[in-house]
Amino acid sequence: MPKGGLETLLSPLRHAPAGGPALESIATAQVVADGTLVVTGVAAGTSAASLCGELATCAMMGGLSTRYGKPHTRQNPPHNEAIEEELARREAAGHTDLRKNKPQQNASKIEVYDRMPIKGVGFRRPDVSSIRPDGIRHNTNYVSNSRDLQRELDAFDSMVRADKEAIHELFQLDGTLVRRYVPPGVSFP
Amino acid sequence: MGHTTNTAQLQDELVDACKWGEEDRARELISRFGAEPQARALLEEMLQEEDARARQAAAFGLGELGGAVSVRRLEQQLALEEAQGDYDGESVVEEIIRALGRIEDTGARAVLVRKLERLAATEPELSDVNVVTQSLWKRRHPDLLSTVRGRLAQLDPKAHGSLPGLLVLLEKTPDELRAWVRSPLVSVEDKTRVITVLEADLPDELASTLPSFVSTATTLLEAAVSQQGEAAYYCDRLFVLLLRFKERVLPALPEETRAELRTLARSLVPAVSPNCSFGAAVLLQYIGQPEDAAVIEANRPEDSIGADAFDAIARALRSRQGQT
Repeated sequence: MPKGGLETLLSPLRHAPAGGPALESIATAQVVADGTLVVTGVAAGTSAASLCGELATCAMMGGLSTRYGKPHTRQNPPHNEAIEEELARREAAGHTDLRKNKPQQNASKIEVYDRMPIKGVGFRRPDVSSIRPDGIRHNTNYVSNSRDLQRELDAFDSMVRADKEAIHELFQLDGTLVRRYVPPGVSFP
Repeated sequence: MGHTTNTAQLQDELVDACKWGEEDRARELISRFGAEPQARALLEEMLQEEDARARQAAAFGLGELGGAVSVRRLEQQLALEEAQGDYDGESVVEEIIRALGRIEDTGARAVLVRKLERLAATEPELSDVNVVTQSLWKRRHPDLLSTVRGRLAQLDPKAHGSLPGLLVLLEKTPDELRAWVRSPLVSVEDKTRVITVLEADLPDELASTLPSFVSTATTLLEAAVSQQGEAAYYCDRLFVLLLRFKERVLPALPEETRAELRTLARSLVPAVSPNCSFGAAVLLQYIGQPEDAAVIEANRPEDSIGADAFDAIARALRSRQGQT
């Protein structure tokens, strides 16, 4: 456990979680020898989902180790760190099926394809993907290079067309939200 | 020096193409890597990169080159990535599994079988089982039957994923599959599993079974329209399958099946399930008539991406007015 306790791991959120009680609902947490943050007893449903809604905006903040350790790429470290830290936060919030840069899947863990592909690009690889405690797939991309903004927007649209029952987000690396899609009937954050 | 720069640019471009899912462009770039063994050497060099995206691109490239040499190198890399035990390693593992699914050498199937066995010996992620299942289907062979049966017996049913669908496809002749799909005794979930496996590859002999899948969807229509459940998901995945192979499959459907599919799609555009509704609308773009534009417009989604897509579909349908 770090100096200052669990809160030092969970508090460096740029914006307070909209749902508030999410952090309070974590029953136990421990940091094991390899730096893994183990959290149990996260309340399912809206609390954890509320947290995840604000996670991506905070993705550049430090302080959390991932369950696997340090990032492994030397290309565009800020982009990679944003991804790794967002994954760590989602894991702490009780998300499952955490995926990094893998082909897009739905909540049933099956690959999905753009139903109206543009320029022959049939599938995408979200930077971060996970399943919320309420069973909703949540995909997030970060604009890694401002010159790629149009490609990122195209990819965002494509991911929505591939799975209209998932949450999709596109952020700039400074935490600015560029796009967000929330399916009808899904609570967000 | 010029050669080195050119090579580095090609490698960077390949990483970029793979990152954005531009597989046609990636294939074209690999063809510019030069003849063997130069291309292979460049790709193997990329496998040593710290950047996982470069390793993913290299795995894709070796899958395109194919052959027993690629299989051996990919299996070696698979072990390295699995041992790495991080998100980056997992992403490369998945790309290797996909690459092996494209390699015709029999060794590729053996590597995939060993991967499935390793998964079955643990508590695997469903997504991992599903990815291996799809690659095994691409490398299908009767020899797989005993392996798949054995692993299904070994795995917790919750971790079966689409693997039972692979078993059905391996066991049944096309005629048997038609009867199986139409049987009310078979669960909708199991039928959906078969569809998700076929999404990876739909051989011609099984394309002829599609009318049975469409008929089954018709029997599920009432539930599929009104709720987000198994019935809607079955129809959603059926639409995905038909759209993935639309150029080959849709024109070949018997006339009565096309008519049934059109009715089905028109009925499901208002479905509660956003995916089912969207798939139905896109399918109508290919099998619909100008008068179907009204159905599309009446059910235009509120989100801008869905609305733009529905508008484009309605325009495409209307533009057929007067065409034979």
